[in-house]
Amino acid sequence: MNATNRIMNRALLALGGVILAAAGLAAVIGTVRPEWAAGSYATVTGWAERALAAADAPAFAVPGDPPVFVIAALALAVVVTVLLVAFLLTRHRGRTATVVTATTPGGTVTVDGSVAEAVLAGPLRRRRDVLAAHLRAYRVRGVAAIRLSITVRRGADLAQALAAAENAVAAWDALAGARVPVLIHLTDRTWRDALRSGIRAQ
Amino acid sequence: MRSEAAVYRRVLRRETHAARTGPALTLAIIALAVVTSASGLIIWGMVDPDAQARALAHAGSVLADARARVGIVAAGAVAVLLALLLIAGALLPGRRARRARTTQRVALVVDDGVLADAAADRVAAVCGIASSKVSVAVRRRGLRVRVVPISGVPVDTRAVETAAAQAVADLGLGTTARATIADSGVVG
Repeated sequence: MNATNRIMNRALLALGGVILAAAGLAAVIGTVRPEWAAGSYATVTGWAERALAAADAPAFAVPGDPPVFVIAALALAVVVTVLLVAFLLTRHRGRTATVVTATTPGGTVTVDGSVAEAVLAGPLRRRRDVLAAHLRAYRVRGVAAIRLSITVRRGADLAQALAAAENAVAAWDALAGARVPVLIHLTDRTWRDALRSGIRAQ
Repeated sequence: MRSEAAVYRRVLRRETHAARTGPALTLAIIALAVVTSASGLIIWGMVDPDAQARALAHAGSVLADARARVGIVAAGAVAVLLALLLIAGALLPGRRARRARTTQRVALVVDDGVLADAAADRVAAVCGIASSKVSVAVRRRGLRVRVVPISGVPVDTRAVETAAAQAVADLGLGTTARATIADSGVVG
C-alpha cells in the first residue's frame, strides 16, 4: 500500500537479468572459444574508441595513460553508483502520520494515526476472537488511507469479525467527520501466533 | 483529490500483487558492490604501471588450467540461470495468495490461509469430522478440499463442497469448491 515505485523495481530486475545473462554468456563463450572472445573484445573496443574519437572527447593527462574508453567506463561507473544509491534511498515511501486534515474557521485540525489506532484497533483487540490488530496510514493517490490488519483466531467466525471491524469503522467515521478510505486486511497467522498462549487474561 | 473508488482500485491492485522490492534491493546492493570494486580495480590498473601486464598474465595462466575453465563455464551457466529468474521476476505479474473486494464502505483483503482455515473448520463442523482430517488448498480457480473420513461413515461430497464454498461466500468472496474423499478412512 506504500508508494514505492514498483515499475522501477521490476525495471531494475530486468536490467540486472539482462546484464547478468550477458556476463554469463561472455564467460562461457570466452572460456570455450577464446578466439571468439578475443575477436569480439577487439571489435567492441574498436567501436568504443571510434565513437569517442568522433565525439571529440578532450584528452586528459591521467597516470598510466589508459585508453579513453577506460575513463568513460569509470565515469559510467560513477553515474551508475549514484543512480543505485538514489534507488536504494527511495524505497518504502508513502507512510504518513496524519490521517485526517480539516480546515476550520479557527485553523487547521490534523488527526494523528494513533487516534485512529485507538478508535479502530483498540476495540477489535479486546474481542475474544481477535489475536492482533494493527493500523497504519499511507498516502494513496493524494489521499490518506488506513490499513487495518486483523489476525483472527483459528475457528473464529470471519463474518462476525468483519462485521465488528465495519462497526469500528462506522464509529471512526462518526468521530472523524471525514470519510477516510479504510482497507481491512485479514492476515494469516504466523508461527509466532501459534506459539502464543491460548489463554487471555482480561 | 481522487475518488474513493480510484483509491481502493490502486490499493487493491498493489495489495494483491507482489512488489518485488526485496529482490530489487538485494540486486541494487550487490550491483553497488560490484561497480565499486570494478572501479577500484580500474583505478588500481591506472595507478600501478605493471598491474595491467600482471593481471593479463595471471588471467592467461588461469585460463590455461582446464579445471579453472570448467569452473568458469559452470559459473557462467549459473549466472545465466539466475538472470532468467530475475527476468521472470520482472515480467511475471506476481499475484499474491490473497482475495480482495470492496464493500460499500471499506476495501477487504483476505489472505488465502485464513480462507482455507475457515473452509476446513466449516467442513469439519458440517460433516462431523475432526478439522485435522480436512485439508483445504486455495487455488486460483477455487478450493480443493481433501477429507479423510471416519471408517464406515459415508461423507457426502456435495455437502462438503457446499460447506467449503459457503464459508468463503460468507465474506462475499464467491468461489467454487471441489472435494475429494480419501479412499481409506481412519478410526475415530
